[in-house]
Amino acid sequence: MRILKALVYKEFLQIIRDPSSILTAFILPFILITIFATAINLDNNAIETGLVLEGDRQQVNNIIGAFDGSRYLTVTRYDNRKAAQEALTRGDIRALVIMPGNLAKDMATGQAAAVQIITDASDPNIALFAAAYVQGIVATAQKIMIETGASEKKSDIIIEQVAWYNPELKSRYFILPSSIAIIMTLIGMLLTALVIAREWERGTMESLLTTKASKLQIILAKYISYYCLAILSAVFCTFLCVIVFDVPFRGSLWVYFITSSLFLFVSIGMGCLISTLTRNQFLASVAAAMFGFLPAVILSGGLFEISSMPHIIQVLTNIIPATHFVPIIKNLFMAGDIWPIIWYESLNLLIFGLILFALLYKVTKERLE
Amino acid sequence: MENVVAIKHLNKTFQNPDIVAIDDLNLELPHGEVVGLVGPDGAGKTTLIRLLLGLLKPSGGDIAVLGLNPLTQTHQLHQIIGYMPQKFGLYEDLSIAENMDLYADLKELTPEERRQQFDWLLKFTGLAPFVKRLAGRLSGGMKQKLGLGCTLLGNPRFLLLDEPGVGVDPISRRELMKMVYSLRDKGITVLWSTSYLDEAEKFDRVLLLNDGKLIFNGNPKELTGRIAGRVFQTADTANPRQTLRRLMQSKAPLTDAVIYGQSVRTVLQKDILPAALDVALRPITPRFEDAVIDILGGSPMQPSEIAEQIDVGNIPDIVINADNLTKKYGDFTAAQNISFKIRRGEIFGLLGPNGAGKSTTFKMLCGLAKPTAGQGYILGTDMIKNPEKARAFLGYMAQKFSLFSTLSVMQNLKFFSGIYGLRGHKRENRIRQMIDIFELGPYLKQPAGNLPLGFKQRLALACAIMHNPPILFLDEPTSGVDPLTRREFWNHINSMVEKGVTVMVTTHFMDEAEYCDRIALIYQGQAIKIGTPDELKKQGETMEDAFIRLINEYQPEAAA
Repeated sequence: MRILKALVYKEFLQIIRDPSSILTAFILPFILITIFATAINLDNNAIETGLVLEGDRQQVNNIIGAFDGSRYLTVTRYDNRKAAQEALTRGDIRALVIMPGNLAKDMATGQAAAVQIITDASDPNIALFAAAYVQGIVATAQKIMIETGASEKKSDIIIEQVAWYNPELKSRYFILPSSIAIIMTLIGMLLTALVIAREWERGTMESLLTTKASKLQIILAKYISYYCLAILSAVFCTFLCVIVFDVPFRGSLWVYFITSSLFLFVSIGMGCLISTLTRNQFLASVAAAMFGFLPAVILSGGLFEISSMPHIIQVLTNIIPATHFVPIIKNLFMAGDIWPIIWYESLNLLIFGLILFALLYKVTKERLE
Repeated sequence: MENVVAIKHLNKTFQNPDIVAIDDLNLELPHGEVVGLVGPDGAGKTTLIRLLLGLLKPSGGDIAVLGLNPLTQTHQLHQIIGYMPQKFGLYEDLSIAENMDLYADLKELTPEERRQQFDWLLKFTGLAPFVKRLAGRLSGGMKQKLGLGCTLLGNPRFLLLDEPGVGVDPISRRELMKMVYSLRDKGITVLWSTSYLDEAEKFDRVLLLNDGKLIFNGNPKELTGRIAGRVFQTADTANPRQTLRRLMQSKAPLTDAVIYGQSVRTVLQKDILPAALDVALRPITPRFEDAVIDILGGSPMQPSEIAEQIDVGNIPDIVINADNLTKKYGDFTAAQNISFKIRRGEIFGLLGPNGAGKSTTFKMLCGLAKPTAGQGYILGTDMIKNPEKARAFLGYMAQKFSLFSTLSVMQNLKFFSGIYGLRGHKRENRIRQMIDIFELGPYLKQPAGNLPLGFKQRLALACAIMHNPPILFLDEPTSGVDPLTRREFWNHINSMVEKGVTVMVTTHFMDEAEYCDRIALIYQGQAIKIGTPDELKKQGETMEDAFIRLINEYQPEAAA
């Protein structure tokens, strides 16, 4: 116990005196969150949309009215496909809706009504949103037409937009909680990936191995001290999100604390494992970025929807710890304590953490080879 | 009482089974000695220490340390031994007191023991006034003392120090040696590994390792005794290199011959002076290094042929001119007002401990660092204004032979000839010449990284002189190299200097300074003395003695 205490104290002194760990734990998250909150904007206010009507306007008047009434689309009318497609190519519009001549007739007779939507997919998010809005508008219009019983009859179309969890459709509401998960991966992994390698590089590990400190104590000291640093960093990030960037938090704080701790248990385990295997700070930091940070950004579902990935990638995302934390933290911020998700993903995280700890214990040698 | 160390038929190989780190080693060490573990880099010193600690597993054989098996009784063993790894094993972000507290906790000292031992250790190491200073801010000598202090916590019976003298100035090294001897008087056995042969004579016992083999185990005087009556020195002459050449060409049965200031030291194969020799010799006291050369079978005794093709052309007498060179990094002065002139065909050495400012001076003169003040001229060309032009005159051999270790020998030669601007037939001829002179033929397709050390050094030199430069800059050219390889290297250098090539060399080996025509002693950023080796030394002094005396004369408080 005394040895563990001495080792933890040593780690704390090193953390406090090493400006880079403070930088990574507080300054870097601050920069990342500010970037995620302001510079990355997935909001879809007023997507420039083109509309081409190939049939009689009179018959689909209500649909067109719905387009014009949408807050999320700015509609420009084109006389023919060619002009509209050129506008799309130029980038004047991001999406193009083409209503064929028989649209109204199909809708009235209940046949499948074909509306063509062409989107500028260079920004897949905007493309997805535009497509979703257009489909929503058309579907609503059709539903109302059926309810009112006739297409001949003029009826005002009211479009009601409902978006669960993110009613204002502000992207930062779902990006920022995910970004906390990414930052926790970064802190938990990157800092710990460096520290064991540093002990090897500076020759202090050799000294430690010839004292009474056991490998369990050396490992635990790293976990404990970097857990403390990372949880402080998480508190700081949460404060930034909730207070500075006005993201609502709807879950319970104690659930948040426990699940975050579980996730840090996993991240620190990965960092320590990388560090122990590489014994080299440069290799370790590259490995931490490749196997920790980038997958957490790209594949965790934090920024990019997992359901829109190819099937094989979707399966792969399961082996990334952040994939299991992102749903918890998203729900805690936007929906509240959704227990089935919390239980299921926490169990996953716990398994991850225990496996990593066991692996780490196994690969940590009390000798140099 | 049992031996401190008992080793039988110890073998150790790593992943590559062709490289034997420890080769059938047998050893018994009695209690209460200061034992030097001596040998060049890669001889197996660190491997042996780690095997004794149980940090490595032997591939074969038995080890007992203080009667314990390092593999199965690791924890008991670690309670009664102290180990200071290379670089001292200190936490640089922790203060002296915090480092000591940590190690005291890790060794589970009681508060009473801790108080007693701290008092004693702080007094013993002289670190008491600095306890709050961070270890990273300490000088090499103070770090070394702190490392020793942390190692001594828990009153170990056996101390293992891995290269404690590296990166430390000679004064601190001597103090450490004194401390270690006072520990021996308290009954502690000390194993001290070093690659400095001149340190070996101070030990009670020396273990000489070469290529993983223990080639000598005993009192250093016993080894030097073997060559008693066989070591001679010539009279001083203006041109000792000529004397050396004459000695080598005399076909006399010599084991070794090296330049020593204005004279030449030589070791004969037998203790009878050969009759045919036309050089007057007088007998002198053997040194440990002489004996090592003898035991290793003698050094190459043919003058190098490298210089046959060299023609430096017509160049001015003053080749390099350093005029008040000063370099500051923030408020740290790395080099201050360093001035010297190097003449044509001279070997000029920059001598000093690591961190003294040798490399900074060096870098300013080859245009790799911009001086804060002062000028540097290479053959009259301003190094600061015209670095490209000035650099064309230079052949540069960087520390640790900076070759491309994954490229083959041939590819390295082609690359360096290319960047020095050689083209077509000229390039091919030059490469062929280099291969012939340095006998690189059999290795052309091997990656440079896999070459034996001596051949790496040849290749590095070949690459540096590819463009026939009149000036050679050598940065720590023989650091970590065994004495035979070192002699071979200097043999090449000497032959080039005879042809008029000018050499500037940095070294932290005090004895290597003897090969230079003139030396600048660099200490704490200043050139405290410039002169020939004989001018620097007083009667009977070694270069290290002289260095320490000159530092003390220069700045008396440095010795305190």
